[in-house]
Amino acid sequence: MMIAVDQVSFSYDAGGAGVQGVSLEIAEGELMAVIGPSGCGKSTILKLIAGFLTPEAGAIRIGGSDMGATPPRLRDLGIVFQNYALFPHMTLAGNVGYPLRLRGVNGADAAERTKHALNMVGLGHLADRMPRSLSGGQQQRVALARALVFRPRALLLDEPLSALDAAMRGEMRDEIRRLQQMHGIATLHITHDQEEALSMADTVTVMRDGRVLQTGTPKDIYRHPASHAVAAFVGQANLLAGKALDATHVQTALGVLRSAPHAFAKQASVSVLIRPEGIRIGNGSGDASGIAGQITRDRFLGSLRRFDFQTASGVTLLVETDDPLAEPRMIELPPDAVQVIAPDLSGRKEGPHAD
Amino acid sequence: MSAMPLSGKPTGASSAVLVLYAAYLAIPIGLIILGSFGNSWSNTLLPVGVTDRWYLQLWTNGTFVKAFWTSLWVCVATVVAAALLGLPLAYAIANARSGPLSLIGRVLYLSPVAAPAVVLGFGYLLAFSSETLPFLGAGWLTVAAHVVICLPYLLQTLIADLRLQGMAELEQAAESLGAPFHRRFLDIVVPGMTHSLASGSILVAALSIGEFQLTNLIAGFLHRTYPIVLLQAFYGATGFACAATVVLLLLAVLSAIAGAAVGRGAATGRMAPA
Repeated sequence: MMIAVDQVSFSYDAGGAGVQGVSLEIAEGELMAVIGPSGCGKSTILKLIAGFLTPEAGAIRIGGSDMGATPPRLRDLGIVFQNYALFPHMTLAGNVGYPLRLRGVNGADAAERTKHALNMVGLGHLADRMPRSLSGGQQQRVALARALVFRPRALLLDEPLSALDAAMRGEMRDEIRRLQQMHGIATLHITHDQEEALSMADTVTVMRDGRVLQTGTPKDIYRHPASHAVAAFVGQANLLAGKALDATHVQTALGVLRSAPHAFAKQASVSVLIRPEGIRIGNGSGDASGIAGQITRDRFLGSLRRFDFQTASGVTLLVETDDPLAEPRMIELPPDAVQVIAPDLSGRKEGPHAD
Repeated sequence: MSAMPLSGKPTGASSAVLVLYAAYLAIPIGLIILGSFGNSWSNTLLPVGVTDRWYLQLWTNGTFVKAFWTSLWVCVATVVAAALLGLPLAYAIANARSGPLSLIGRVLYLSPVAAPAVVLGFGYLLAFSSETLPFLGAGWLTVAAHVVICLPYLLQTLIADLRLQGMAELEQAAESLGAPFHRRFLDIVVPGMTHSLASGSILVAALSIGEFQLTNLIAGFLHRTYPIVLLQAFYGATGFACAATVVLLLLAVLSAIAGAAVGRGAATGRMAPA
């Protein structure tokens, strides 16, 4: 593993969000996104790996070497900061060439590598410009070039797209992924944007309250969340409290529903996850459970509609359909769309459609 | 009560206040300049006659010329000492999240208000007139005292700029790229602080040139600064006193203009559209 975080704990003196017993592994060429709500400890993990914070317990290894006493400058990590952190008194070439100067690479070699790095992000023609004259997206590209020019062992991205507008964010996602794959470099990407994480990463880690809730591929995390908290944070979700009746049935506020097979014991308290796109408009044909109700709020989202469907029992479900005209009085829940997962034990209510 | 509209265009009442305040500031200065060229001025609203003899007398007065040069070297030495002390001190205070350094920082911020110059002067009198520390009247002591008076203002400028620029994150970036402490300080911090150091130093110069209260108590006969001897001029001819004051005013105005120019350059440089 290029980056290994092993049972690391850290707490802030001032009582801010720390981390407890966090373990992560990032292989060479892998991009791992760490997501979670504000204060979940995701930025703390990056600072611990970078060496800006020192773990109270556990170990951090980079390239197999323990980083316990290694200062940040000797960890050989390229870091892209949220606000880019370009040196305002240096030109773009000065910024990108700075890590080379620090490593004693000078003259034609340094100039060539700097030029190559700037060309790689499409800014070779602006080498003599100052950072303040660039747009946010261009500054982000310079920060990437600077973080990669010295061929670091791994790349750490600290919410690098959060300061960009929506259009530029989409473009930069592709750009970061392209550069990361081109260099085959292990990358940790911290973000609070689940869509960004799901679309870019090989692996996604979901954190809350300083702990890792689940690590898996984006599809795994979305389709098979390990718990109520993961399901609530990743994607749109209808979450209902329930009791397992048998391996394929669950009791909820909507009545008894047929579910995907699960391993919870009879009468166990569970959460029931129903993704909005899994709900069909229909009268409950075959195995699907039919639910009566009416639309209370409708949202046009371009290629699809997302509406609130209030059932006769008073539960509001979020439903997605690509039918622009449907005004259903009945919806149906196929068993595959009804997933039984671990309940929320924190007592928190997550999202507008939790029950 | 009149309110400032959202467009930022001042109302009639606020314009009147602005004009009255400008007049309040300008009239005494105008009268001093007028008086410095007046032949005589007693029991009249304005001076009578025109002359340049007060400036010629000032130019040939050894006491004033010596005091002028003393003020200049004290000022330059104060600026240099404050800059050498101020930059590392501001850096240390800005990076101190808590503990004693942070407390020292807050005390330094408040010191100009909490300890007026006259109080500091009495302290110097007691401390440096003893047989153990017989330094009262030494030129370097005047410089040291001016540094104490001026340093908080320089620190405020520097610390505000360190925070405004997000220097802590820039340093982290440099550190992650491989820079040891001395390279971060020399390559990133010092060049990044050039504008605020320049504008803060000019503020220090303006304060040092005009400083009277503390200097009057501790400067000996050999190292009297310009404001000290200016006080003597008030007991002589009005025209001479006015001319002597205009010279001090000129020095202060030049410092202010230079400070404003450097400050505006810094602001323009940082706020250019991205």
